[in-house]
Amino acid sequence: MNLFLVELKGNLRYFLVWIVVAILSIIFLYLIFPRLTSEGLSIPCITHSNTNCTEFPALCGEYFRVLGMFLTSLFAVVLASRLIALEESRGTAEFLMVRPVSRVVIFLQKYTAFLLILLLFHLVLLLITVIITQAFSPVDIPLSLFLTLIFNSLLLSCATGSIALFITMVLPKRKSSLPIVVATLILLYIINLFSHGETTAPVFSYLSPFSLVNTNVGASDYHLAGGKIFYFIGTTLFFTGLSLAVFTRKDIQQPWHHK
Amino acid sequence: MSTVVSTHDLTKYYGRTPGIIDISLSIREGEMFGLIGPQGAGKTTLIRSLLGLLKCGNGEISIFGLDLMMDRKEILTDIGYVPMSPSFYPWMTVDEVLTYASSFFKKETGEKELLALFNLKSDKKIETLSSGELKALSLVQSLMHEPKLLLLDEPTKGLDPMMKERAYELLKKSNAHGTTILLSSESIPEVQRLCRRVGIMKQGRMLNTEDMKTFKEKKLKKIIIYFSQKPGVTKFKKKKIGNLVVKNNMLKFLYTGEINDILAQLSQENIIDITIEQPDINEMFLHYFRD
Repeated sequence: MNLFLVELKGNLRYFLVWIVVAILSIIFLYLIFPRLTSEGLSIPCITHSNTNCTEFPALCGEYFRVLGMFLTSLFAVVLASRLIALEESRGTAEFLMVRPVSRVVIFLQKYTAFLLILLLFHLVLLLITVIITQAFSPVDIPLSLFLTLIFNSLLLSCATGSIALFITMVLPKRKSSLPIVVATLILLYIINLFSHGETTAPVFSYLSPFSLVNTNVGASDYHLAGGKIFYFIGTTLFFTGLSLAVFTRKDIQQPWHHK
Repeated sequence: MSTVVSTHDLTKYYGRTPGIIDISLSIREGEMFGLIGPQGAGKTTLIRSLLGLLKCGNGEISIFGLDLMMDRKEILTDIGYVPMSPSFYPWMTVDEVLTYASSFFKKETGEKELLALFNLKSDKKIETLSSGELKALSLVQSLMHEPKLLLLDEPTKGLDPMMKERAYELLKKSNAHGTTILLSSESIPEVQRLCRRVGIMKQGRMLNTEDMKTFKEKKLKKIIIYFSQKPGVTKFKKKKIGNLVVKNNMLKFLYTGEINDILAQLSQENIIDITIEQPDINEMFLHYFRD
């Protein structure tokens, strides 16, 4: 058993709980939304104001924008906030940091495990979506659409997770950093919703990584632009680098129950 | 003998609050060095600084002749550490913790004998262990790679008397094999029993380091006496008596002189009950370091 495997095993239960949440939310979409539209209820699109999501792929994209990408990001930020902060709060950081291994190696192994868990989560999400689509979807949806959507979500999760990791690094550890991390995520999400107003969009959309996710699944040329991929990867690398710099210099706190 | 641990003017502040101030310390190879002081004296901060868990603002730390900042990884290969309140991954078993801990070392480890010594079952889940068992497990994992230096922060706190005895024997045996030990404790008898030299800390400063023999000669005792009527206090206000407390018919004080002298004086009094005991560390510090 090594550090990387311990990180994976330690998050197994958390991973499984979120897979269940993801399955339930996807089933909810496939069972409820088509029925609503078949009964003549129109669902307004947030992404493209003044239009309704009448086509099922567009509806999927809108559902992902409203709920899906928030949930996947929430999974990522909670996972990231567990990465180092949880070790300190329960006292295992002391156990780990007195081993003959550099802090850079500890950070990189934990962060690699974090990325792998995110990747696995999205792969399982893709698999579940494809299976449920085969079973319940009223129309045929090409796999490439889901692949692009999941890739969007993965990049977004890496970016929001890295921001969360940085926040947990710089916050004093006297109290849990989780509420602050989740509050930051909600703030970014609200900025994203706000940025869809016609006059505010150009100013606010750059502040929230949510705004750069392309959920317009109904569009014929649906894809993720190279510039946006660069933005997500850049944000991820920037905050991960900052977190590593803080981690190698910081004091390792005693567990909270000692205080 | 070479110096294993050496610090020079080590200072650590938590914000504006001092943790340790200007600590200069030298521990020789094979020595068992005790660190005593009341809560908040800076013992834990000093030990955590020696492990590189805390980054000190000022001062130098050298362990095995290597600079802690530059050669931390190499130094930690030969260090065992028992924290004050050890924590492990709650979902692991005892065996998994030890396998994980040993995975960081290239040496063969001998945890099975140590587990048997503390009656620890290897398949037991961490979340089901008592605080004493956690402390025992921490001792096991700190010793299993046969470190050259052991840093122990209250290593027997939470252990039952039988396990305490086993821990003492284990530490003595390890020390006899050449392991240098830094033992922090609030228990004077524990430090007296195990250590040859002691460092006395208070409010982040190292007040003094002295041989245990000298420390023992201070012969400090806490005496509690119940009289048949309210005692006269003035005759007890003498040079070798400190921390005098009078409450109804009870008199309590710390005494540094010959025990026979005070008993001879008390024999002239009408006493109902008398207790002579070892003062706790805070009382000792109040006595020695009140000013």
